[in-house]
Parts: sequence; C-alpha cells; structure tokens
Amino acid sequence: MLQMTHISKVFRTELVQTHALRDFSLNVAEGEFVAVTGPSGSGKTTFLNIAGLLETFDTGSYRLDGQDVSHLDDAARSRLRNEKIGFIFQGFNLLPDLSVFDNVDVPLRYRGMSGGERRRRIDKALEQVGLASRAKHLPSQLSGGQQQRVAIARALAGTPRILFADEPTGNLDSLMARQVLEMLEEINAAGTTIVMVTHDPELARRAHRNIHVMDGQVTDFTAFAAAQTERESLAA
Amino acid sequence: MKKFFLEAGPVLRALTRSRAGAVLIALQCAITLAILTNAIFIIQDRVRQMARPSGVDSENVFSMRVKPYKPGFNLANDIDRDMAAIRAMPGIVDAGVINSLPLSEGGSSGRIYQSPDIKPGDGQFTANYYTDDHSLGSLGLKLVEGRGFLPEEVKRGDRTADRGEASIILSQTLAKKMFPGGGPVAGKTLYTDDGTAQHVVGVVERLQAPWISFGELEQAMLLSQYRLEPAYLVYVIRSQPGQRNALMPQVEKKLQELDPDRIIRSPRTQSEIESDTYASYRAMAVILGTVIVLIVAVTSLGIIGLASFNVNVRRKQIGTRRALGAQKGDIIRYFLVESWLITTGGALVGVGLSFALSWWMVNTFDLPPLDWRYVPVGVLFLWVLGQIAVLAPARRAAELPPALATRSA
Repeated sequence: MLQMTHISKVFRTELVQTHALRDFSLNVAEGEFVAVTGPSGSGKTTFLNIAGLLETFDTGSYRLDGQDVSHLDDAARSRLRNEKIGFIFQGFNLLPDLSVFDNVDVPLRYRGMSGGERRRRIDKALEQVGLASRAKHLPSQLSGGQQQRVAIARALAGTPRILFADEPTGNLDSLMARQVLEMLEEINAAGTTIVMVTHDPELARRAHRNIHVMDGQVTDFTAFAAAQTERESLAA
Repeated sequence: MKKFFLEAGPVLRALTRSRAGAVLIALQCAITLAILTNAIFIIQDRVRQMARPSGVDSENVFSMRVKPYKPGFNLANDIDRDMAAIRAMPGIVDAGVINSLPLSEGGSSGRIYQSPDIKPGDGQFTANYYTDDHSLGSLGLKLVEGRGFLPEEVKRGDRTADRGEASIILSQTLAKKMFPGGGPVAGKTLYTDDGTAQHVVGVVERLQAPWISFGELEQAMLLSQYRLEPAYLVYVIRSQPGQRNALMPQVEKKLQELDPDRIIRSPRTQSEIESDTYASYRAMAVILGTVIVLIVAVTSLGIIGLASFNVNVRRKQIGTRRALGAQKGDIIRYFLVESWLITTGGALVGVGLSFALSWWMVNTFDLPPLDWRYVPVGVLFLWVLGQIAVLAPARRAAELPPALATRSA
C-alpha cells in the first residue's frame, strides 16, 4: 500500500540545514495498522506529511496504492489526498464555523459528488461514529472526544484507502482515547490501512507493527526491542 | 460557475456565525453603492447638460463690448461704422449687435403669450435677445423656417426702443410650446407681457437662454430691436472656421483705430463664455469623481483588509482544507464566494439606500431623480470590485502549504 524508498527531506533556512528524514525506507502492506513512534524532532511528523502527500521530499521514491507519487504536481497530489487518504489530526482540525454535517461534507464537496450522494455518505459516517444526532451542532458545542469522532467521520466519509492519524488521542483523556482507539481498530478491521504517529507506547502496542523513527531514520521497533532483550539476557 | 454557487451555502452559513467584520464591510459596500450610483448619475447629468449645443457656432463666434467716453458720441453712427468695417475684414463671416449671448449668465427674459388677453399663469417663459438683421449670420444660427430680420424691420433708439412692436424669431422649442398643434409658425403673432404684438418671421433650430439654471433653457427668441446704450450692447462677430483666434485682436485693433476715444472690453470667444458658465458643473463633476475614487479605494481596502485578516487567522483551516483535498483553485474560490456574498449583502441594502439618497436629494437640492438603470450597473460594479479586491489575499491563501494542517498554530 505504501512503499517509501530512500526518502530524504532537508529543511533549509538561510543559516541552517535540518535533515528531517535521511535514507528513510518503509513498506506498509494493505490492511496493516502501523504505529510510528519516536521522540520529538525525530521526523515522525515529516514522515506523516510526506506519506500523506502534504509535503514533498528531496530524494528517493514513494509509491502509494501502487502509484508512483514522487513527481506529481500540486493538483494531482490534492486529488489523491482527497480520493485515497483520510486524515485524523491531534487537534481535530474541524472548521469552527461549520456544523458537524458541513465539516464532514468538506472533502466530499472537493470530490465533486452530487448532493444526494454526499448526504448519504455523511449520514452513514456520522452514524458509524455515533454522532448522527449532532449533525447540526458546531464543533465548539461538542466534547474533545466527540470532535475527534467527527474528524474520524470526515475521514471515513470519503472511504479512503489509507488513514493517517497524527497523535489521534493526544488531546483526549484516557476514556475518550480508548474509545477513539477502538474506533480505529474497527476501521482497520474493516480493511482500511492505518498509519498512526504517536508518542504513547500503550497506543503503539495495539498496532500490528511499530516503527521507531530516530534522527530521521526508520527502525523496525519490534526488531529493535528483540535485539535489546537479547543483549540484556547475554549480559546477564 | 456551478462550483461557485454550490460553495455559497456552506460559506454563507459560516459567515452568519462570525459576522462582525463581514457586516461592517457589507455596510461599507451599501454606502458605496448609494454614493456611487447617485454621484455617477449627477456627473452624467451634468456632462449631458454641458454637451447640449447652444445653437451658436461656438467655435467661430467671439464678442466684445464697446464703451465710448468722448462727450456727445453718437452710438448709432458708431455701430454702423464699426459693423461696416468689421464685415469688410477678410475672414469675417458676419457681425452684429445683441444685448447678451447664450450661456453668458446675463440677459433679459419675460413671458410670451398667444393672445393679448393675458391671464396670470398663461404663456411661456422665454429669453429675449434684442438684436439686428445680422443676428443669424453673426451667431451662426440655423434657420429651419421663415426668414431672418430685414434691415427695415430693425428698430433702435433710447431706453424704450426695445419695448415696442417688432419681428421675432423663435427657437424651435419655444415655437413648439407656443404652437403645439404644429404647422407653419412664420406669419403668426404673439404678445409680450404688456400686450405688445410681436410678429413671428422665422424659427431657428436651437437657441439657448443665457442662464444654465433657467428651467426653460431651450426657450428663447430674437427681437428685431435694441436699445442704444453701451451697457446693453455686445458686438458679436463670426469668423471663417479656424480664423477666430487670429481675427479677435485684429478686430479689437480695428475698432480702436476707428475711434480711440473708447474702451474695448471683454473680448471673449463663445467657447470661453460657455466653458466659464459650465465651470461649476465641471468642478462638481471633478469633486464627485474624486469622492467616487476615494470611496471605491476605501471599500477595496476594506475588502482586502478583511480577506487578509481572514487568511491570517484561518491559516490552519486553509491547511486543513488543502489536506482534505482542496486544490488551490478551491481555496481561491472560497474567498471569492465569501466576498461575493458580502458584497451582495451590501448591495441589497445599498439598492434601498441609493433610492433613499436620491429621494432626499430630489427634495433638498431639486436634482433629477436617480435613473434606476444606474443601480444594477452599480451592483455589478460592486461585485466586480469585490472579486478583484479579494483576489490577491485569496491567491496568498491558496499558496499556504497543506502541511500547515499538522502544525500547531
């Protein structure tokens, strides 16, 4: 589903160059639920931005759902984001002046769907996250957990091939976080690939596979942890 | 275009939820529309009035006043001598005497009636030009019926000389007012305020009164009589096309040579006279034009300011929209639709305000009522202005990267 090969990304200012990603390679299979962890500044968000086509990269190649997306122009990237990718952000990123219904409607409008089809999808997505009765509410009238569920509904309404979640429970209490995580697991069980960036090791453990990112490079966290355990037992 | 209007629903709903800035700009648009439509209408009205031909061959006619001061001067003799000399000059078409000139802001007026049995409120207002048998040629008036004055018809004398029976030539507008039934006018008799008969001998296509504020500007007549007093007489001379400016000083010099004991005053072209008379109209047009430019500039800045502010406070929202699949064009369209809705809101209020302002000016300044056609044109202008003004901030918004969605703030 997602194949990144030798990706590098350098942020340049007049004074400094920052290697956000260097020789970054990663494969994510269809239907996988992958957690990406790493300390602050390790390159997790840059990875998410590049993977989600929010940002371009300097070298390497990237195939998404079988398509080489390395050299697409802005319009083509926008279309792909709209049609194949769903996003869940840490801060929910709902549009504050739009109702729940209109928020979920935003990506569907950009896809140019008919009014009837949009309504059907919005109703279904809000039903799925248990917020059908709140369609006319504004985001400010909802709790944090409910807002994140609206964001999930917005991502789901477009039936994406892959869902990128950026610290999806970062702004939620533990109860809400659990609900959201369970929702993501259900979505994944239904066949949608999920790549989730998180600081939370508990959350990461619920994923099929953990990727650890350090200094802009990827480490298979599971393998890293196994090696660590082996070294510790040898030392003993 | 379909996408543009499809976007209007959610944008309008969003606007109603954070409306303070939008309402202020809409109000500004409403005031702009009201001032714009009325100011342009007044300017157009003034321009239209200035463009009305006076009937005189303005480009080739000039005039001057002559004031003898030698004791015992004989004005009748002086006029005959002067006119003969001027008419003999090469390049001169004709020359004559008259009490005042169209659009010169000074002259004589009265009422004229169809019957000597005068009743109050009857008759028509008219400007009276007391002149000689060279009036048609010296002013360049176009005769459409009858004839000019004959030399033997012209009467001149002391202060009662312009009050007797005479031949008259009417402007076409006055002729139509006096004889609405149509048919030949020459040969008919009209009557002045004191019941004196005036015999119509001709009609000229056009002859304006001396005053632009005169309600019946196009109603005027020539009378074949004049008073022999320097204060009441103007020499009016018409040159061949293109020779006016060269001949003016020559005529002045010639008159001075013929009799050095007099003052030649106010040599002026008819174009200058008309231009000076309309100076206040031009000034008003310039002032209103400046007001229009300023108010359009202020409104444009208001729209640009609001859009720029919105772009700045919505950076993350724009990033989110881009992340969700909005193309650059979608972001630009969002701001265009928002601006269109604001200007439309302003236009709706502005239409009422335009007519209210017009009504007030009609009642206060006696201006003509606003032509309704200016209002839709003004609304169209406001829409275009709103779209152009918002374009730069909208383009800036479209250039914001989608990665802003994942950044805090």
